[in-house]
Amino acid sequence: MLNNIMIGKYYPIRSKIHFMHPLSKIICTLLFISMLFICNSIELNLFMCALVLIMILMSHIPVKIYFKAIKSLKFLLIFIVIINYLSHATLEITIIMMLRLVLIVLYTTILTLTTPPNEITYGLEQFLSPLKLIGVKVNRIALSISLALKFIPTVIDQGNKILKSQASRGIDYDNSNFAGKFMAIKAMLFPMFALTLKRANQLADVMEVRLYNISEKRTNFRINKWKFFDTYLTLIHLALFVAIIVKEVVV
Amino acid sequence: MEIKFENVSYIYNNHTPLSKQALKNINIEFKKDKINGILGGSGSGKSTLVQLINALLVPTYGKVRINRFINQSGKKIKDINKLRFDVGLIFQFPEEQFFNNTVKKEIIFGMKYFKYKTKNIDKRCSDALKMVELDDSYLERNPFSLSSGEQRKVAIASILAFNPKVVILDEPTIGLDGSSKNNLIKLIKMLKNKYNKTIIVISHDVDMLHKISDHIFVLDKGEIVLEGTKYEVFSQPEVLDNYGIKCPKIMDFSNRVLSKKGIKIGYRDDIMDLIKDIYRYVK
Repeated sequence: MLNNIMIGKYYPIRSKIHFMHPLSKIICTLLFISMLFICNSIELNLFMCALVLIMILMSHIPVKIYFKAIKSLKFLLIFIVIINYLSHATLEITIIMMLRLVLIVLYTTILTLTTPPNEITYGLEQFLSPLKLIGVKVNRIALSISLALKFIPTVIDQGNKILKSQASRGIDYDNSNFAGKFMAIKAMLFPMFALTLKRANQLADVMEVRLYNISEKRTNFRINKWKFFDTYLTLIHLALFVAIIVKEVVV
Repeated sequence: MEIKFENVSYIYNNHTPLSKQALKNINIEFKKDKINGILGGSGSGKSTLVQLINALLVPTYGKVRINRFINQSGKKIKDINKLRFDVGLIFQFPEEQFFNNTVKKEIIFGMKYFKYKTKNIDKRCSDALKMVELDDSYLERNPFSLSSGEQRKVAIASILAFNPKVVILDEPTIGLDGSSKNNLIKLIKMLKNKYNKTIIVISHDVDMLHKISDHIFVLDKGEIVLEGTKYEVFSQPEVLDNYGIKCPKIMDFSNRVLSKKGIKIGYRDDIMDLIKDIYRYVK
């Protein structure tokens, strides 16, 4: 039912990308997204597609899993086309915008599929650690992000259960037309919201009971080591970033 | 109504590293107009099995025949709503199956979407509530604010309201106190005896299953390991013990008397009947 949503789902296999340091993956993702916003020609965007394709192949995750992630974007893509059509944008701009969206989702999907939520939090904490110097409570931000990421599959599971319950009583999401799907989603929102709040409260209670203290310094269960491949891939991304800035902004 | 599993296997997340086989080559037929119990430990595939009957899941291999409908991979069921109209499923956690803000809306939901032809939906709604021993004062209450026992009753009422031919109850006694449990047992028996419904009950509660079931299937690690009438199944305590299932107390007593004293007092459903038997024997 809602199985197409791949955000926050970890795919446990062995690959070079899986074994990378989460910090390097986050830096590469941010560099990639920044590059995308600078690329203003179709040729450069196609080059970025090639880069994503290489990363996808290196992750050893079946391509159809990534297709699932794109499939959930179809309504947003249709929306982009309509907005561009109404604002009389050229075809080139429309294609670039659609490519950007698809590529951002694909690249971030590589990050979430190859990195467990805990590792992403660890990477974010490391990435934001310089902000500690100016008094930002980085561990709080990292905890919030980690909880949000962990909640996505929970909320999806919850939604699936409600959709199943609706299906057993007459509204079948999978086998109905657009109006039926709309009805199913509409009826699902209220209980999803109520149950998610309930779950969040339960989680907060469980953390309290287990004496979670945010101000204490926390250690990590797994120690990640920065390897040669991390430096290699980050440098490639950095070099591409500089090259694209030179080409698109300076020249 | 015929419900038959033919070589059914179900694998969650098939062809991914997260794949997990929930059911292995199941070949069973549920007894028509009887109470069928499904017994098994956690994660043995009980809930998956019943979701296949309601076509909420499609078998990875094999097929499930539900009257004229066939649930099998690669073939969509035509009129799937007619199948679901005939098979009412009450989920394990009732609070997860509510999506309306009043009990009334929750109960009439099924009737509304199955295009139930009844002029008096309100009366049907009150009758369904009465069957689970709740009164009309609950109609305008929010189902999320009820106690877990009341929520379970509302969940049962919302299925009984559209009068399905088959009623499936997934762990119905969880969260119910002693008297509510007895009332539920009475209700299940009444559905079978008075309305001739085929009932499928999933439970860990062997005493409850012993009280109500006519036929029992024992599931272990996705396979049917024992099947038969309740007496056939529960008279094999050593076999059940291998699967981590204990005998109902009343049958356990009879089995112990037989093994330790060599006295065959027979199996009884009701404790009073057993006491009478013992009294007769002593006399």
